[in-house]
Amino acid sequence: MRWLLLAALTALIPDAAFAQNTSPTGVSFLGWMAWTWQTALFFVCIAVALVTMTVWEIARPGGDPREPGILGIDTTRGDRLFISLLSAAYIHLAWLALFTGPLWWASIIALVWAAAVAKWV
Amino acid sequence: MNKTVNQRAWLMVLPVLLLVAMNAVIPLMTVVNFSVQEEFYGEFSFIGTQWFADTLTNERFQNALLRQFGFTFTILAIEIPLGIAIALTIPRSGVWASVCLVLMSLPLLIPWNVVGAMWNIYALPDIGFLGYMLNAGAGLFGHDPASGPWFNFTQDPVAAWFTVILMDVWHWTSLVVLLAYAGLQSIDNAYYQAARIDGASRWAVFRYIQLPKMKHTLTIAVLLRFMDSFMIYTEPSVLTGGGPGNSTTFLSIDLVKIALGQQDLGNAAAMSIIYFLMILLVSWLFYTLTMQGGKK
Repeated sequence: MRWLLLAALTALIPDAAFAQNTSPTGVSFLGWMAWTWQTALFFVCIAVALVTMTVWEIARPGGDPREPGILGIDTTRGDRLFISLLSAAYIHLAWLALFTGPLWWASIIALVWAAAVAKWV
Repeated sequence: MNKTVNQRAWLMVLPVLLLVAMNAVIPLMTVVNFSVQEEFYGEFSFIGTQWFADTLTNERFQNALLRQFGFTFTILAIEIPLGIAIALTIPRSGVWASVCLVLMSLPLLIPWNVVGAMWNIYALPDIGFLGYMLNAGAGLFGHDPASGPWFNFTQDPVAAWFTVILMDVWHWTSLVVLLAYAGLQSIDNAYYQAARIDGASRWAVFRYIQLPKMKHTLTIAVLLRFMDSFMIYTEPSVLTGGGPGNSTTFLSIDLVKIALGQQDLGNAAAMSIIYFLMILLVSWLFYTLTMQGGKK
């Protein structure tokens, strides 16, 4: 059953190659979703993170709770991943709004922040 | 007692997983794809995060966001205290309690577009009851009708804001009242008896018994109203259409104008994702505060 769940999760991973696939009638299968390899890679990373968290939970059940973390809230490792991802989105948006330098700097800040979240939140 | 572990229960989740994938995940993925591309007559070209940078530095977006926060915090500042005050005046039991609760629930049952249409007619400066009475009142205080109506929400931004806020307060204060009333009902009589024995004033009872006991339901009320008002579209769209000018163009109205009016899909997609992230943050706060507040 665990493998069935994993299969269901991986079925959600978009395959950029499908974007160009056409049916015998010539109608694009996933072309309407306007895939790019960059966004496909992004979603693959999200899906891989979800699958990894699922496998991790199966291997070590309980979610590695921290009660409470530095923010005063109880978190599991899934919560910490969510906080890191949401923070990463906000860090990138703030960078785009306030600075003109390469976006990699925002990614580095987001990674450092994610490590801090994993350690203390 | 040992729990029975039955992994087949996961199969029950599959239909929901499929449904959510079809109506939420896949459309969201499509929006993400659109947000990094320039679309021109059906041809797409990748432009990276350009739309996000454009949107975030665009004065039009910033103004719509400011208006949105201004609207949301104004209605919260009115609806929460007003809702608590009304809940405190409703009897705790008896026929009148039921009558009050039914009357309070009525605005919540009206469809949102009907609320917008109702208030549009109600506030019209010449034939609407509210608009007519306000203008008649202004005439009594020396306003010259020849210079045009004193209150005209179709042309005056202040009047438009006043009408939109009044409409939202009328429509949604009931929700705060019902939640605050539920919080008040859950307070044990023993607290009131103890306060009476100690000779506590009415204010002390409210400050030290009722308000702390209502904390969790009020948290839910504040967050529900925040999210609802932050996503408001139908009522102001029907009432003012975002005008006069752009004075009541909130985020969702601006988004629809960009996506459907201008067919500017990349810009609208980037704006949608920024909007979505804001709602996601508040939803997460809502979930965390209610779940962990309940535990403690």
